[in-house]
Amino acid sequence: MIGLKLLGFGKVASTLILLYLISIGVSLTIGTSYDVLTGLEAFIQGFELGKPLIMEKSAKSIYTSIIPTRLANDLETVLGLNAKPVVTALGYADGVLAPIWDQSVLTHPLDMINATGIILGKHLADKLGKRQGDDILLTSVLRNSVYIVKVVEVKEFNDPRDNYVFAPSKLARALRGIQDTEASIIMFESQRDAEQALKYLSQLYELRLNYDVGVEVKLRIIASDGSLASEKKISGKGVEVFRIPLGYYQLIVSTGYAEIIVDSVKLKDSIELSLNLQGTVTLKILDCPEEPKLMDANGKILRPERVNNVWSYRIPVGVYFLNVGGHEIRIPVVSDQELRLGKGLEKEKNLESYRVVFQVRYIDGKQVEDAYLTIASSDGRLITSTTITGFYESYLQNGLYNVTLSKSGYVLKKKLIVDGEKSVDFILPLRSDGKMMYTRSFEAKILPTGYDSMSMISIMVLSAELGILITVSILAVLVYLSIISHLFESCSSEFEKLRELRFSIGFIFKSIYLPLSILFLLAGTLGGLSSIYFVEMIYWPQILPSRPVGLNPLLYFVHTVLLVSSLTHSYLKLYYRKWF
Amino acid sequence: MFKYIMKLFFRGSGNLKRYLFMIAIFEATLLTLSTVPSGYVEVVSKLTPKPNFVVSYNGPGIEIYFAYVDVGGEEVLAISSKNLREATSFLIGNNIELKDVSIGCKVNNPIIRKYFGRGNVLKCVENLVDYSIILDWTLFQQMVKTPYKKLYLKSLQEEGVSVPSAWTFTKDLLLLVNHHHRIIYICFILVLSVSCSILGLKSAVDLRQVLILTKEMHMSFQKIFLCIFIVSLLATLAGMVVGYGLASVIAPLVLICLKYLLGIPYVYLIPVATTIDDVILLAFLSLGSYLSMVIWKTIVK
Repeated sequence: MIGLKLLGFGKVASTLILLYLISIGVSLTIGTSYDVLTGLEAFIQGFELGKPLIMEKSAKSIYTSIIPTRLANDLETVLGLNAKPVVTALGYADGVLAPIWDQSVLTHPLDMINATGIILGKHLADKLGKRQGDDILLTSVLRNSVYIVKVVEVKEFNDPRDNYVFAPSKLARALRGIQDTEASIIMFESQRDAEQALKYLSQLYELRLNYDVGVEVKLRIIASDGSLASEKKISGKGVEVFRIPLGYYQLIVSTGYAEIIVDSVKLKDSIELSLNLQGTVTLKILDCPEEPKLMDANGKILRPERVNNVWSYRIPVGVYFLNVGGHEIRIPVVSDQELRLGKGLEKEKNLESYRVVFQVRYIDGKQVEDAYLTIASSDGRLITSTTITGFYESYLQNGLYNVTLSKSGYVLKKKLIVDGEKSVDFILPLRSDGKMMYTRSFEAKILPTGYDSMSMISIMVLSAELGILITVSILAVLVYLSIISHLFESCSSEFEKLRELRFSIGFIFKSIYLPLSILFLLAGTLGGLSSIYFVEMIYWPQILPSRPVGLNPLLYFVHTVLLVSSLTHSYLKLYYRKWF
Repeated sequence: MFKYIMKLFFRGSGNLKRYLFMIAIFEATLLTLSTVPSGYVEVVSKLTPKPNFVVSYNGPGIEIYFAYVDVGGEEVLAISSKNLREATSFLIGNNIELKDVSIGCKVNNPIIRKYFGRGNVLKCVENLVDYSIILDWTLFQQMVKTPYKKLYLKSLQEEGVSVPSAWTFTKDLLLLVNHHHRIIYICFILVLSVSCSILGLKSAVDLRQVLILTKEMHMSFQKIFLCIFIVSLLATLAGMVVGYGLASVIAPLVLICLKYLLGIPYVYLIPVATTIDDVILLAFLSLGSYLSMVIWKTIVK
């Protein structure tokens, strides 16, 4: 009280009023700038998933990132990581800005019958006044698309997802404008998984192939989504080195007569493979009293050699047609092979039969129509030779079998041991639409919290608000300094007297600095409280489901630090000028 | 006399110089804030392609009606319009020949085809058309038993959501940022007025000395105050000019920094002439605050 009396109650009171008024302006500016900055960013960028994710390195937002879906599958197949591809888009739901996410991201996604059914976050639904069964108009920021969709469910999350739209994958892709082989981000269960994935994805691996092929062939490396990773012509003996990223690949040799899948590779390290392919192979047909009628793909009848009731053909690798008893069967021949036509369908009485299911799908999961399945025993007896669509069921006895599937020149061979019920999957390394795309080169970056603070969209807002935040903070210090130094300068004669009376530094500190600090803090706090009140009162444009301000009340008191710092600076300046 | 008063002004404690400096800083800051960020968003909004059309629940515009038709136990979206040709030209982009029934590519299946018995299947356009059946208006009225809803398609950028909605998005962002700037502007007025009042109080001490000196020279108070007003006005105008100059340097510098630090594309921006209204208002307000304090301290007291 003595110190304040010395300075003059009137002067101190007027300074406090000034500081209170200024602090309203300053806290309002700093608080709202930060609120708008972070609030919009959080809204636009995606909720805090609590799960790490990776996205395209060059993309500035999860809404502009495009990532091949196959990467998620490859990470799971090759590294055993739990990786989920997710599609994200930004759009308007009945005129309200809303992030639109692929509903597969939810813990319990709905099995949506209707392709245009959506799940609405609770807050967004309340804001739009929508309930289950209502229609919503959905538009996309990036695509020239508008959809009428039906609300299938309103879900409450108690987090920012309450402002989101969750759409079926197809619709989300259409809104984002990406193909079915692409997604926006890949989500992981743990940070460790994401880091491991990024480590593997950020480098190329060497696939060294030692080949010995009798004819000129085209070697294709096909990625798990059916895209072409690399292609080379090879012939004779040699070594070919491919540098390709992590993934699950199939090596296909195209001979002109057939497309033969020679190997599949889970590439996560540099590896070496061998490829041996004879230019011509021998097909021996046994147990056939008459000369078999074998034709190539062009219908040309081939002539065999006969040695001890065995019909022997020296033919190039390919798919051939054999006429047996008026029936034409397709025989893919990719290596030396023996075929017994005599007792193929007879079953040995003592052996038990098991149900074996054969499934054939394209690489994108769709059923293959009119594929040709051949089942032969290990000694070459032909058991089944038939055209199948997607699915085929057979009963086979215990034993070893050679199963061949051919479609459009592609030949897939498998050895099958039957010792119980089995399911055999054939995946044709082709897309159902017949398109052969090139594998997209991809560079990833990690977002540890599922949040891109440096996105293009948030930067737009950031550039608008960051400047305000910094300059207002600097101005606040300047104004506070100006006011406080004015108070001290106006009391310079009083300070002079104190100096002459040789009052101790401790006394000055206790009687002037401390009471002023408390009073200034009070003025600043009151200013902060008033600005919070004003923020609630001020009208804000309703473009978002929630108000962009008032999210973090503490921000409205940050200026008090600036205020006390300014007082300390002015006090120290006075102290050094007057007492030294 | 004016020259003499000017000399007296720039001597003393230098508060007048500080006043000039303060005004310049404030105005430079204001200009930078009003030019760079919102200017940047404005540039982005100008770069945003114009929408193809606007869709709204409110008219005017071309009306399209929609409702659900039960086909084999499954709901299918049916759309129609009294002006079907024009409505579909908005959605599909060109004039196509529509029959009584046109089936969207994503709902095309044997059940639908059998149910409607006729109609052509439309090519995919990645739009609501893909998931719907377009019906002739008379047929729509006959088939739809439930109450149907209405939408309006417009070609102008009126009220509604643009398609694609990037236009609405940038417009909304701009609206929000500009609204925030208006709040900041009011805060600035408050801060600047208070600061200039303090500067006025401080320079009143110097001015009192100037008044004493000029009184000795037998000059009239009116003339002296006119001179003081002119000097203050000139200082304010000089502050404005310096402010514009500073902003012209700061704005590109800020953008260059943002480009290199955060990778924001550089768009060259300098203070635009239209900001003069805001700056003049602020400048005269600061001048008023300053002079009112000077008058109160030197004459009233």
